[in-house]
Amino acid sequence: MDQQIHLIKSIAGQDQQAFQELYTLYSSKVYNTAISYAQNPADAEEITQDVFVKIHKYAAQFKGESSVGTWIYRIVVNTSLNHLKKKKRFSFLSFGQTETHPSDFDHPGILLENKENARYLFQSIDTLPESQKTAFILSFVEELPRQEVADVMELSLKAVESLLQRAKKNLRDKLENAYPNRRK
Amino acid sequence: MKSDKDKWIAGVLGSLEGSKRAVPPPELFARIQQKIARPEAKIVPIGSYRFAAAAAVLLLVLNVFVLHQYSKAPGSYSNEQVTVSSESLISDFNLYDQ
Repeated sequence: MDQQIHLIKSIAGQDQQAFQELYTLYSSKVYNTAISYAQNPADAEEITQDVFVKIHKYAAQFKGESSVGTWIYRIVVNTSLNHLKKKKRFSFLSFGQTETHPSDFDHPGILLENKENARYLFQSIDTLPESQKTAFILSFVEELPRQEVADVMELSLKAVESLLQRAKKNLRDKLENAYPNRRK
Repeated sequence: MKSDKDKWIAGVLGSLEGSKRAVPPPELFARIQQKIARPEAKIVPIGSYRFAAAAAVLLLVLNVFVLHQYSKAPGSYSNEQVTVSSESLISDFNLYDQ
């Protein structure tokens, strides 16, 4: 843990080696979270790029009040949500011409036999409200401990549990509606 | 006993099991370094201008459309027609008769 704080301090001092080390430690965590929100590899790359640029830019402002991991996940969540909002605004202005529909999304890390089911799951995740979506992605896609999810979201443990319960109920309802139209 | 629907839903909700983290493409780090090295360009928020530009284009199109329709319409007036109609008005209502 101290080592990661040291890395951040070195990055603040423009140490490129430290930046590369931090990238090696966190790039897949950042990218995996980003792709779960964006459901599109190109957007996930853009979000990952923005996250690391922000880490580099704001490293000097890191006060160590939370762990480095929590701080980075917070940046990923905010950047991803802002990206989604921006994209929604843009697709409204371009009269609905979007390139990839979320339902076509295949998460690259999912086992082959689960791909079809996971497509329905991500399609349903995409319709969840922001806070439920964040709690679900951090808990079940990133598999973070509940306390860390609570720290990232700056909520109590109880509030996170409640968000997850509501998220699961909403997902179940959406899947029930999707059941008659599923591919057999 | 679980119905087919419940089984399917459980399968979908459990589809993340055994999954691995997605990994970014190897060239992404070089792109990040390039972006950091580039002097920061000042971003002009074009979102608000977009609405103004769209409104201006809409106004222009509406104007062109109205002018086009007006010139095409059978009831558009030439100078001659105006003279004729005002003459008939004068005679119909005996405006200058004493």
